[in-house]
Amino acid sequence: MLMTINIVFEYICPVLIMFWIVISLARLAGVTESSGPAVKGLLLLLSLLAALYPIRGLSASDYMLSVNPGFSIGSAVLLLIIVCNRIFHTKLLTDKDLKRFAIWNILISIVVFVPALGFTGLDIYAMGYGSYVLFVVMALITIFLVFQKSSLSYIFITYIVAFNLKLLISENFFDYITDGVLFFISIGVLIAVSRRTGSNYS
Amino acid sequence: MTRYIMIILVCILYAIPLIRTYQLSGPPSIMPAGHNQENNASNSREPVYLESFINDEIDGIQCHASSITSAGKNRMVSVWYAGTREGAKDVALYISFFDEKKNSWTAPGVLINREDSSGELKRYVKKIGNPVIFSDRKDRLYLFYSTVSIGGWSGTSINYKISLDRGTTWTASRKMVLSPFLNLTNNVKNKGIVLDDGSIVLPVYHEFIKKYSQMVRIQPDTYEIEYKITKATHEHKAIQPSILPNEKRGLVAFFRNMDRDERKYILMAESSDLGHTWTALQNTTLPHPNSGFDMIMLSNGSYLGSINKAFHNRDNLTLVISSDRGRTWKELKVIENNPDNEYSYPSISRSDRGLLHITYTYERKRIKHIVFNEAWILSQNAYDN
Repeated sequence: MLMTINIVFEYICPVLIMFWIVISLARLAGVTESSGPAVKGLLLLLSLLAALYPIRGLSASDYMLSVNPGFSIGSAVLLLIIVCNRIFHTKLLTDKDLKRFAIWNILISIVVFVPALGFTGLDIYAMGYGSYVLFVVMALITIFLVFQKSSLSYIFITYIVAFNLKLLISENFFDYITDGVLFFISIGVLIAVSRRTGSNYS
Repeated sequence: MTRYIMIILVCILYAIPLIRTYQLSGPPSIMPAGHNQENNASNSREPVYLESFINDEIDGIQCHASSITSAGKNRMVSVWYAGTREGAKDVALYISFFDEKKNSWTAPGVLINREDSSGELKRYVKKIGNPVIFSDRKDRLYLFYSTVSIGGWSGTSINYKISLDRGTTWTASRKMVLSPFLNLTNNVKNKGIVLDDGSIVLPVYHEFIKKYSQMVRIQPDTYEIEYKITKATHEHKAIQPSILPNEKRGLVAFFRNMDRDERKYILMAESSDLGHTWTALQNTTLPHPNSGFDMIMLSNGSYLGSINKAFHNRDNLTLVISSDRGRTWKELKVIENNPDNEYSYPSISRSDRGLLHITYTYERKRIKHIVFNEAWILSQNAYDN
């Protein structure tokens, strides 16, 4: 049962990426701006098909998972924010919070990835299996965000709920927070939001 | 008010994994060497030493990276990879069983090829590589093998299959997530150690950009496993660890040395907490040409190794023995010595009868097998100074 949930869950991010790609292409062609819900629904269906339909045994999602076998909850949240914005023009996070979220993703990724790739002798990744320090720090950050009434607190609560429910294959809490693809998307989001907010202020 | 409820909720949510982690359970310890063997062949006073080949030579086909383990009473199983060249699309993992009573191998069969691996994993598999096979206390067989989706061997990830019927049928392959950055990268060479609580310590190594060794702590379930990975070495030259028991909760690891020195030696490190922490690396006295090797603990606590005992070439394969936990070594027998040929990547295992089996790459054309008992080791005056 748990394995089935893991398998279903791991396809969420690839499907969201495909939504993003298809909607972006359609937007470039001017389709979504002028079209009604029927066309948008059709595009979503097309995205789902493109993401999951196997060609010679493997779907586009399977190829994405071949490159990045472990999409994090952070990825799922960020992709959901992007896709909702593209399709429904709904902002799940304000630009300020989105920028903070992107910065958090980049920083935590650097902290975890650099030692994991052998550039330092530290073993930060191993702390994700149940280090007292990590969970206390994460709990304190989450409480701080709750006090601040920040929308990011919901994301931090989602990390730990997903981890307790073992929604991903990994037993490591860091795999719920970040992954390689999230790192790169967050850099792109940070640049885009910074440009947007910068041009708004100027 | 809502905020305070949320804070209590956050505290509870973060407490759950901590409670899980600190569940009361006694620390595991190491099973004694040969814990499951019957006392016949191993205690035989008659020295036994036999040689054979597992597979026939086929023109244009290379084979490499064999691994051997016990598969029940009087039965051993070996796996290796073969194809037109290392990393080629036609490379597959092959399996064969050895009957100790008949002293014969079954005809090799394909255990898994690139396409089947891709189908089972639901992932693109560009190439298939190193297999490692070993059994646990419940006679379950574990196969760990490496695959690459993009790039070269430094982009390797590890997959596993489990057999509950001693190698006749296997579960579908499952991919292990062992690195936070695109799962880059881990590979296997030598088998793990089974602890008395049924858990396993599997040595693996990281090759992407920097090279170092890691330990995977595995908790087996019936058809799948849970695992945690921790770093073992911090210096960027020690890979392919072979781990041996030391004391009740002690381990000794010997490492392939990737240093650029002209004269390299096999490296070693010790752990007193079942591989959670390790001492700094130190050189052994064993010359080393940057090649794979394997070691095993004998029933008297001595260590037996099968290595390329040279600084530059893989043209000799030698048995070495240490009675002082790896500090000093004595040459037991030169198994192969033929300049300009390759004899490499040995794997050592003990059968239920206590016989010691070694398989290795023979000139990249075949997998050779030797089997001997501890009486034969004694007959070689192995422990005399």
